[in-house]
Amino acid sequence: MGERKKWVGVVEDIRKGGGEVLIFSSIHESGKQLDQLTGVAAILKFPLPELESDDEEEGGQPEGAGQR
Amino acid sequence: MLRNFDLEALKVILLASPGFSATSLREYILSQATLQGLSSVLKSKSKFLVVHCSTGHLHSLNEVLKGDEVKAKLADTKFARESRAVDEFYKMIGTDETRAYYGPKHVLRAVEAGAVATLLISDSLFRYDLV
Repeated sequence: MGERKKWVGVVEDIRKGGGEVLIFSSIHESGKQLDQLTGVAAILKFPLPELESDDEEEGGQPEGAGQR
Repeated sequence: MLRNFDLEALKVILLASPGFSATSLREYILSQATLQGLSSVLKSKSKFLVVHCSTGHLHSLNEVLKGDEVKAKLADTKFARESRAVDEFYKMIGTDETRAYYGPKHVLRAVEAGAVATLLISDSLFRYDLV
């Protein structure tokens, strides 16, 4: 799947779920700042335990498996 | 001007000058719009904000953007919301790092968990299609 398509999907998912999506222009200062953080960042509604160790592949998991 | 800007999409149009040029320009734009029946311009009438600055040089733009009136008007605009979100994000990293994530992999995880309140994403991720 294309990188672009993936993020378009993500944006739609979040908007559907009532989240806020801010698209930054990389021409502007705040966008440049964001680009230094890999270009994507998220503020969460609730804490998620450290994701640091999650380096293993999650191959067979169906989409949205984390939702309850 | 109409060719260059989509007035519907713009939130504020700042007209700044020393003296009265900005006011005259605003009047000129609006009178021309009335004459030519440009409803898109007339609808955006309230977006034209006239402010004073000491010179006509580009560096006066800074002076203009710092003025209180302008700040108040800009507070609502997208730009202000964005920089507020970046601040929020950094603050969150400082106070509760389990609620602030960055990097594609971690953000995707948070999205899957339905945990994202605010997504900050750069348009550069949309522009390049690196399959």
